[in-house]
Amino acid sequence: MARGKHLAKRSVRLPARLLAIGAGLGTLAIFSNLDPLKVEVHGSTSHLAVGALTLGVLIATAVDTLVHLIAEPEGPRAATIARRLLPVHLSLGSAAALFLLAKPVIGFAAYPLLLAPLLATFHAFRQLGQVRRTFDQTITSLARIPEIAGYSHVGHARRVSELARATGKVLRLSDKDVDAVGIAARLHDLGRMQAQQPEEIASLDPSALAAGGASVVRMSGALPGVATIIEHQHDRFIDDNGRLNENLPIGSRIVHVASIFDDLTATGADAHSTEEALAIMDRGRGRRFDPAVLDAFTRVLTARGK
Amino acid sequence: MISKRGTSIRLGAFIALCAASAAGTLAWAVLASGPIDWGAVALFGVLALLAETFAVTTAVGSTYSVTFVITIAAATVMGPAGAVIASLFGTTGILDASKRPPIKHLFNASQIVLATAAAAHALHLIAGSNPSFGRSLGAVTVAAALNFVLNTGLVSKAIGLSTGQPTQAVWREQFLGLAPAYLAYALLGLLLGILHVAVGWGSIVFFLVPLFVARNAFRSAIELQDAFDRVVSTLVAAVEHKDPYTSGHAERVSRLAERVARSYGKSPQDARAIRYAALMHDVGKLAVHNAVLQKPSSLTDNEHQHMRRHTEHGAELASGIDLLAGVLDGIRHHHERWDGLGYPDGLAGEGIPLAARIITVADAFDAMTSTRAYSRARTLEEALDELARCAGTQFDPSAVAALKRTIEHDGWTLPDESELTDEDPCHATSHHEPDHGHAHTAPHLTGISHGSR
Repeated sequence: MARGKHLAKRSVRLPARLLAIGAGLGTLAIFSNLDPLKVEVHGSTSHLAVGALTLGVLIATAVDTLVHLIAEPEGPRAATIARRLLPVHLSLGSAAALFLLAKPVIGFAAYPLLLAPLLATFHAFRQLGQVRRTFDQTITSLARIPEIAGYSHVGHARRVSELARATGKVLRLSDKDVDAVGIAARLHDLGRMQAQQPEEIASLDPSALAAGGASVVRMSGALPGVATIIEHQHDRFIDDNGRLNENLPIGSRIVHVASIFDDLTATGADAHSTEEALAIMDRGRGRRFDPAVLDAFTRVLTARGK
Repeated sequence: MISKRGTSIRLGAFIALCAASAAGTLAWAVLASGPIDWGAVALFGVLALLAETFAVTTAVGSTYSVTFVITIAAATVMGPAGAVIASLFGTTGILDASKRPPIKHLFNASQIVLATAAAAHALHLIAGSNPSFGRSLGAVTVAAALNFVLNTGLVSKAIGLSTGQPTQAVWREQFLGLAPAYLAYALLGLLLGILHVAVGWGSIVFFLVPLFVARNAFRSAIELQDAFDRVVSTLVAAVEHKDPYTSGHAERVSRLAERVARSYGKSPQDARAIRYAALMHDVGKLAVHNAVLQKPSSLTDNEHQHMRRHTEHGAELASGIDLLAGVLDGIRHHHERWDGLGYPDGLAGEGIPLAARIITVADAFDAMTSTRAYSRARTLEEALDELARCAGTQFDPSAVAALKRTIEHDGWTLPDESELTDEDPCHATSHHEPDHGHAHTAPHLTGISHGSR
């Protein structure tokens, strides 16, 4: 299940949608004997060119997807966008077809009445958008608990989450997995709340804290996969016996790297520069850290000009 | 009070009456009508079945289903007899989709047949055989109203009989808000019927695609809403895990606060917002250090200050969530006192938001009537007396009165001992004096300096 907010900002969505509808109607006009703008049916009226309509819907979806991709290259990949936009254009296409069929029969009453099924769709999608937003905001709020309490640095969870998502993309994870890594990164310090007070954290076993945080997330049952990533966020790539930790989730490896980088670069007066931090972390390459993840992470930093 | 046996006899009689009326209606519809177009009956029957199969049920039990659209379309195309038979097909979809007892199927099928028959006959009588569009609109509005009244009325009556709630209250709270949907569905049904007659069955496909897409979006929204609720209850569970005196406390306070809000004449939506606020009123304790929250001995002044900040922390956490915008006040101000000596802002009297005043009283009531490590639970009467004693100083007198009314009217089940035993035994020792426990366990008249958290 996609957990993101909207696919893109409103300033992208609206022009994309309009352009797509235009392309769809154009297709319909070219490949059928219908003139959608004048709502006239030229020639044979007994059947609608279903093929032209299907093509129109597909082209509209493609155009919409393309605009999204161009406007926000950091967003989800094409297949994910198209999958979420197709139902919208399917609804619009069906309404257009119905309108073309009904206009000659029921006249101007077709205008308001044929909007009805579209309004139902619009209402449903708005509700879905609202719940998506609420869910996302809830995760953000949860992530702020350790920061409000002084158990982790302000902004740490957000920065780690952004870096982790970007690294996941460079590693070509699925959009679903990228979302899971992002959420896990936001919540990765939740387990610190088990400490009696902030000063105590340094003396506690990080893995035990992580396991506690994971158990809270797991208890909710709402975020499949996220709890496991949190649980193993401190696990080493090569364990103490020199064995490769094959079962270590890729999400945990990413959060591990991103979190330590932010710890090194963001902590007040003794903060390290990006180069220093990467040099320090490179000592753990192939031992503490997965080399592939470390490379991808470095590429993310380079791309961001850090 | 009605005995359980008496209830089930009356419910059984009611369902039998519905079933008999439905059977009579069905027989009359089939016998009295002219020849029936069985092809159209099959088409609309299958559509009704699909509509029921793909119905989406929300967590609170209301259902998004377009069956009524199909029924009205069938009535427009075939008249009452065909519509009733097609709607009966739809009810077999309910049969497959759930594992409810047969008696419920019988009742559901009966009430659907009755409501459909009434709507279809009204449509037929008013619109006549070849109606103008305007006349059809009038007819379909009447049909929608009849269907709505019968459908929701009969279901409310059945719920009322089986749960002992007043029928009217059930209807008002659960179904009244659905009236516009019935009208919208009826209009869609009329349109579908007209299109079917004029254009043919192909139009139905185009018509149903947007509705199906809408249905899928609704289902995703419901799943996410469910996930949100689970995250919220996890938060509450996490608070109770940190503060083991409070097992089940938030849930009870939220139930009580919602009822008190209702008795204040708040709308169901407002009461639900207060319920959420009450559920999350202590969520800020998540950001309170365990060393303070779980300290078995008296808190120092600094620790008190830290503890008190849970009201602000809670509001801050909830402030990031748009959905909870209406409940922030309830969370932030649930430790204010009527006399202005509370925290965090020292608000007094009507200056304290009503939601917070209600939560304060419900919070105190539950704290007093549940067994805490340091004190035995008080009886219901003792707790109400204590609230009354502190009304006007710590508590809003009208909120205390509303809580008393609610409890006397609806009753209140005190928490079970077994619910409360998962306390850390090392905390259940005698050095835990009541006056540094929760302020409301023993309401203080002397002011906040008296060690209230």
